[in-house]
Amino acid sequence: MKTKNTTPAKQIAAREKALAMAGGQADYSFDFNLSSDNRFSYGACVIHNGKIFLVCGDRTDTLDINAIDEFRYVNNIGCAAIEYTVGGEDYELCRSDMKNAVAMQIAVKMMTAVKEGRTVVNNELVVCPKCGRTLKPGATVCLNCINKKLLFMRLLPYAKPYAKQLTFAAVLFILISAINVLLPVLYKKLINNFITADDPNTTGFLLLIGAITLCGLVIAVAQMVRQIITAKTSNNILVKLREVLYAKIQELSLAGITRRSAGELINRITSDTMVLKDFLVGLFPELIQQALIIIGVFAVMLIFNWKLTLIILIPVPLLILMFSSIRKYTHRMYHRQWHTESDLGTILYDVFSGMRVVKVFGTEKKEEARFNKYARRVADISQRNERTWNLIVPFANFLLGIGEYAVILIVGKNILNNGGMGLGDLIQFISYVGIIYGPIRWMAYVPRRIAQTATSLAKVFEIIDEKSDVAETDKPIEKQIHGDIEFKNASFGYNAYEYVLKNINLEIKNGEMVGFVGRSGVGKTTAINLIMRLYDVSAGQISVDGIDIRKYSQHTLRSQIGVVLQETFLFHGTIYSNIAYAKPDATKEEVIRAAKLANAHEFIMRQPDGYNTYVGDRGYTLSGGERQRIAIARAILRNPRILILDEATASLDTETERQIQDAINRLISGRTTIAIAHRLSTLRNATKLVVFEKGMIEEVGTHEELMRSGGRYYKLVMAQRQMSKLIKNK
Amino acid sequence: MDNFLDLAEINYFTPENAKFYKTKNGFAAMKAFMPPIPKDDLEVEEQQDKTPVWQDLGRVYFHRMFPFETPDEFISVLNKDGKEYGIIRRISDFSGEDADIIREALAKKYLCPEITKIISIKEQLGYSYWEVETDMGRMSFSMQDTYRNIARISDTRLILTDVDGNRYSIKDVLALDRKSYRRIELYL
Repeated sequence: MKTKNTTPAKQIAAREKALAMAGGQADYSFDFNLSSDNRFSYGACVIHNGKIFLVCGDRTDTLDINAIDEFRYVNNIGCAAIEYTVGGEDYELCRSDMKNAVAMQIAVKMMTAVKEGRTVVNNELVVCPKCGRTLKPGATVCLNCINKKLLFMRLLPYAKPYAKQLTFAAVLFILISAINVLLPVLYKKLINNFITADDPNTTGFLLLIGAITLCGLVIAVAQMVRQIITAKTSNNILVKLREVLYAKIQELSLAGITRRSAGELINRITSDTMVLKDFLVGLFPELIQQALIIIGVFAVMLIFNWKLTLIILIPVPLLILMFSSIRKYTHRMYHRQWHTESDLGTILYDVFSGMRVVKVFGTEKKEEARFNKYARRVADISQRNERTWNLIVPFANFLLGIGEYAVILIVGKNILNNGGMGLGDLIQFISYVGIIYGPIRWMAYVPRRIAQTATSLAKVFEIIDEKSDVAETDKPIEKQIHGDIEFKNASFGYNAYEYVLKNINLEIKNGEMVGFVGRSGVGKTTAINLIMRLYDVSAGQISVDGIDIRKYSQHTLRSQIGVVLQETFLFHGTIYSNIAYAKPDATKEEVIRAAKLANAHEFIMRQPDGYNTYVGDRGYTLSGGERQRIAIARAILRNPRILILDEATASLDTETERQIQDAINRLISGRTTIAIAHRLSTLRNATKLVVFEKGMIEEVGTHEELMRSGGRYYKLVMAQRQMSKLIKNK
Repeated sequence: MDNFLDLAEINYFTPENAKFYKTKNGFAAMKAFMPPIPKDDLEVEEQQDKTPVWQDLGRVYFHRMFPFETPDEFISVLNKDGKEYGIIRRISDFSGEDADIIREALAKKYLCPEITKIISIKEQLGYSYWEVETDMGRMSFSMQDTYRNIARISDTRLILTDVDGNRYSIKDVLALDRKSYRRIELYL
């Protein structure tokens, strides 16, 4: 593999200069490559001992981190910058294109940490040791530099349980190859000893025909058995791989999962493993088979007539070259065709899923024109491709015949000159030429297929190797919790440079109902995600009953928390299975009680099939309020110690909200409840209200206390009252 | 009511109501003649004096509304938190120092080298490696999932996004030289 380490000398010089300024030591360092007016330049920055050492072109600078008020990572379009503030005045530290963006985000976090007197362990920046490229967060392998051979070796442990079957398959491989080599020899005998012989012997003739037929039969049977064995083992390997992959994805933290799209994850489980299957079932055995046959044929030919063999082999490299260039060309052709076809598919999908909009706005004609344009394009391209293909193929086949012509020429001449060779020798050699030349065209595709497989393998193993960032401790605690929650200096950020929650200190006692209030995007949902340990705090800690939640077993913790979210996800299945999802061993009676408590029983009984009504993706569509009540029933069924309601009643009409509120009020007694609501009236039963603003807690108190103090909560309540007054007056 | 769209007001900045300047450290800032900006967004409902006054908005941020179609028209002027002060209809409405400050700030925010020549494209293991000549010099970059990371703005206009998130533009593929065109043709 080529190493792409092409760091320019000037960049290295800048790095060394910055390092020298810092006295040869660095806590952290990064490169940047733009000057302040967005021209390309070479710069490096070293952070050491509370100071920043900067080299940018010829300019150098040293800054004291403690003299600076704030550091910011600024994400522009196609470029990024680090800015800082001193005395209300903004300054730019450095800028770079996106290549160094991740390193700069981490630098900002480091500098902020140094300023706040924290020490940050730098374990986030992963650099590919080979090419020096900063890996994307979440990626653990550099697909560019990965060792392909090692990658394929990693499949071996999965094949181990099938060692016996595979050995048997190997024997069959050799058997098939041997017969393939033997057959032309038999043909030669048939022709030389019987057909062209002066006085053929009938018994020998029949025996030989019998042997040839038997060979054919043995090949057929051996191939069949071989195929069955390889297909079975590789399918088993594939299933195992998918199982491991699926289990691994479930084990990953929510952060690890949301970093990749659902589509990408689905792809890895289905498509990537499918590519592996194609390789294991199809390409790999075929490759071994062909290699064995060619080696055998080659050996026999060499023994038989080495001069002729070498002459036949001369055009082989040429042919391989030619076919790989044809492959490149046809690959381009079909690549384009494939893309235009997929574009056409996208358009169809688009229009059909948006049919309502198309009809409402009366744009059928326009859509038709758009479809026709793409359909025309597909037709044009595929027509052109067919034409080119039909021009290439016969010519290529002609070239493949070159070897045969050479044999006929040389051996034929020999026969005419009575040089001791017979017609049988001619036939034998022509067969061998066919065997050697035959797979050449196929071989041209092999490197590409192997590369594809390597990419898929790398992607699959990347996930298998990934460490979950919400890790289980060695001896996780499993116990019934009481329900006291405490945030101690807890901070959290989804990415390295920005905290969504800063220094949260909050105590929630068992039995309390706490309302989280604030505008959207101030960190309320993040705070409850932290309690459920969907993410781990970046600094500080959260404890339940005085014990850090990271010490609990994740399953134990979450099984005692009930959650109702604004968006309720119903799985494809019956209403019953959706409620029982929270507790698979629940009895029917428990499910009915839960539904009754959630005010869901009544509407469920209005469904034609009662609790057996199908809902979800392709099932019966429930309204928002009905889904919500199913979600509440789900949460009740678990009898959780901690109940979390995230906007559980927003976007519902007042009557439904009142019903759901009733259900919730029944639920909260004796439990710790945390509710997020924009409609403040929903929180009238709260014992404590926590007002969030910009990732921090601004106010804590009861409704009365907060109204008296006249802070943000007071303003929010007033704004909502005015709104409802306005609505009433209209 | 004539047109219901008239209900939405757009505050256009013109040389009459806006004056741009640079902060000590070269960031774009402005003074504007407009209704007072409320300090706290919670007090919006309260009666406020809407008479425009000249005020110093301090540092402002620009964002192109149609970066591909009209990079020099419809530019949103925002505060630090992304709240819009107003819109510049056309940069050419302004002249002299004002226009220079706007152009300079946009040049610093948007980095998108223009590809003038494609020297080579190599594909390997699902990545493509590009070697190109741009208006900012020779550059090399790599792309993943190449076809999907080339945005087709029009039939001839392309925006390429590399693995790091850098962008490269090709204003007119047909205007590229023959060899360059052959190289990129596969992805069109």
